[in-house]
Amino acid sequence: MMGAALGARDLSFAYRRGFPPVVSQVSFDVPTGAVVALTGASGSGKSTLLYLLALMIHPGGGEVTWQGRATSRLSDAERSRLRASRMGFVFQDALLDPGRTVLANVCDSGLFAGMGHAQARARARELLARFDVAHRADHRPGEISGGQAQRVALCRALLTDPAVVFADEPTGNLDDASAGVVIDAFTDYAAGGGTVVLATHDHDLAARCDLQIRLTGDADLVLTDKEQL
Amino acid sequence: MSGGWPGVPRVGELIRDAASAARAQVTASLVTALVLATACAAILVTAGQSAATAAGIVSQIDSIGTRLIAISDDGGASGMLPTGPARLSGLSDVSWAFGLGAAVDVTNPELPADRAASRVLVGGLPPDLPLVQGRAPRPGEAVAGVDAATALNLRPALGRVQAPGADPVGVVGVFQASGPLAQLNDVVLIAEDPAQVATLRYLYVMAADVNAVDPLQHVLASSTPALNPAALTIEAPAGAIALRSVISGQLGAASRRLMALIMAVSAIVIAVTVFATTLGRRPEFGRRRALGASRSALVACLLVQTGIGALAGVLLGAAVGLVWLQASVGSLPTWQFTTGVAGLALLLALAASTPVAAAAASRDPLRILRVP
Ligand SMILES: Nc1ncnc2c1ncn2[C@@H]1O[C@H](COP(=O)(O)OP(=O)(O)OP(=O)(O)O)[C@@H](O)[C@H]1O
Ligand SMILES: [Mg+2]
Repeated sequence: MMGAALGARDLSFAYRRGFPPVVSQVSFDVPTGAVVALTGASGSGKSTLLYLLALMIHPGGGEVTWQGRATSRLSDAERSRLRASRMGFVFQDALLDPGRTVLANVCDSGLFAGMGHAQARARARELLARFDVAHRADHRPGEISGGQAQRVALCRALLTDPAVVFADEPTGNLDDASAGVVIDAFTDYAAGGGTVVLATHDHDLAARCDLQIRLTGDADLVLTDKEQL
Repeated sequence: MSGGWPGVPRVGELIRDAASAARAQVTASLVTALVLATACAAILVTAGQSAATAAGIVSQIDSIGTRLIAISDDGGASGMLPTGPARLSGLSDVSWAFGLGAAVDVTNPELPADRAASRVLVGGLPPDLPLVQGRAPRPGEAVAGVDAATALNLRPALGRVQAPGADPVGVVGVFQASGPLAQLNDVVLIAEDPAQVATLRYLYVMAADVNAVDPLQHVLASSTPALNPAALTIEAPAGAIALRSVISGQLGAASRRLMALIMAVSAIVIAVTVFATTLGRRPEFGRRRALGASRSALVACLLVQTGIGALAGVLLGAAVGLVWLQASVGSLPTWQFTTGVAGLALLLALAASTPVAAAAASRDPLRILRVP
């Protein structure tokens, strides 16, 4: 495998001052081209760690590294640019704009990456077809199922061909067949040189990942390589 | 594997997105547009109507003679020459000038019991002595003021007047003066060739513009042809001129205050409107920030979106205001004023929305998403 796509150095975070930290002093590297699973009990801080890695919140201590470089000194504009051009994010609750169509939602990430409208639409339709939601392209998020919304959110994350895709419970609402399509997509993506970091409760999904990072609930973690499983 | 995107939205796409957002959030856009339209129309109509009112009042003041300068030689000591009217009406800034000789009583030879004053007229009948009957006099003919005509029983048949020991003169018309010249309604004016007249007692000069009155007064003091110009009395309506400038100044200040008030109220309404509609969009801001929208991109999106609604409103408001003014006072403000008001209202809307947008964009994306 190549060098680390991203990583954490003594990373700590608490939602409020004086409260016990949700993430405390964790360090790990995510190799480029790997599919990595964050596992752990509900409330153990999986989503929080994803937000930290995707530079959506500032750590209370430590560093998130991006291709070997520290990110804590980056300006908001630089962080935004990294998110827009190099990262894709699938939220646990999809987080689509209820006022726009499915297609417009998928294209939204392209706007901030600097994609042209026509190109974004063409690629969005391709992705929607791949994840079997093309027939919902002109519907609003309120008119589709939870699992469909999750796949639409995945399309949005993949639209810009980012270097790293973060996915929070990407198969949480899916049946086995749909989950299989999503997992295959991640594997393909990694095979193409992309890096995937996902949070999941799904043991089968976690078992298929190259690396597992298990949050123990004491703001600590255990790393397991695929070969050790 | 990376698309290698710059991570900064294209300007064209940003505008396209803002336009589609303005269409999608039609209520917010309509409210912004309506507020702007109302403000613009109100300002234009207020300004136009108060300008028209001020112009009306000023022209009323002017009609009572702010521009009329009277040169008199009551005792006949200064020897005012009959060449005056021709010479003075040749000056720039002078609309017209005419001179009157000393008063001589005349009677109607048909009914000699009643008498009226007559004066020689040099320089032609000015437009401010409008005829109500007959025509303007040629040299050797007379026109009578309405009251003199009545006193001498000259109406409706006109007839003749005669001074003691002189030949009768034909009356060819009747005039009715108003304002400061109204006193001439009692007088019969006998037109004469300047060459036939020895001296004048009065010279009336109408300035072309109220601002020319003051300088003209000084010019007249030196250039009125007279044997002894120092004995002439030159009177201009200083009080009326002062009143005119005070009133037009006060009307202007009042309408400026009213406009400032309307603009301030509009600014507040616009700011509150934009604030309220923006508050409801916090989840959208959080989501888009998470997708990589920078603060400036987010503010730009919101500004363009607000701008679209505001521009539509400003155009509508200006159109309504102008049509209204055309219908009510029949005159339009200058295009500089109109575009100035429209531009100012537009800037105001954008300025009012900026802090709201900036505040919404200034926090960590997740803080907006996860903290209601
Ligand atoms: N905005 C917030 N303010 C305060 N505490 C929060 C906030 N968001 C999450 N938490 C707390 O932080 C902890 C970690 O939350 P997080 O969402 O990261 O867990 P998770 O591992 O993703 O859980 P799940 O598997 O249920 O999604 C939880 O105890 C949660 O209650
Ligand atoms: Mg979670």
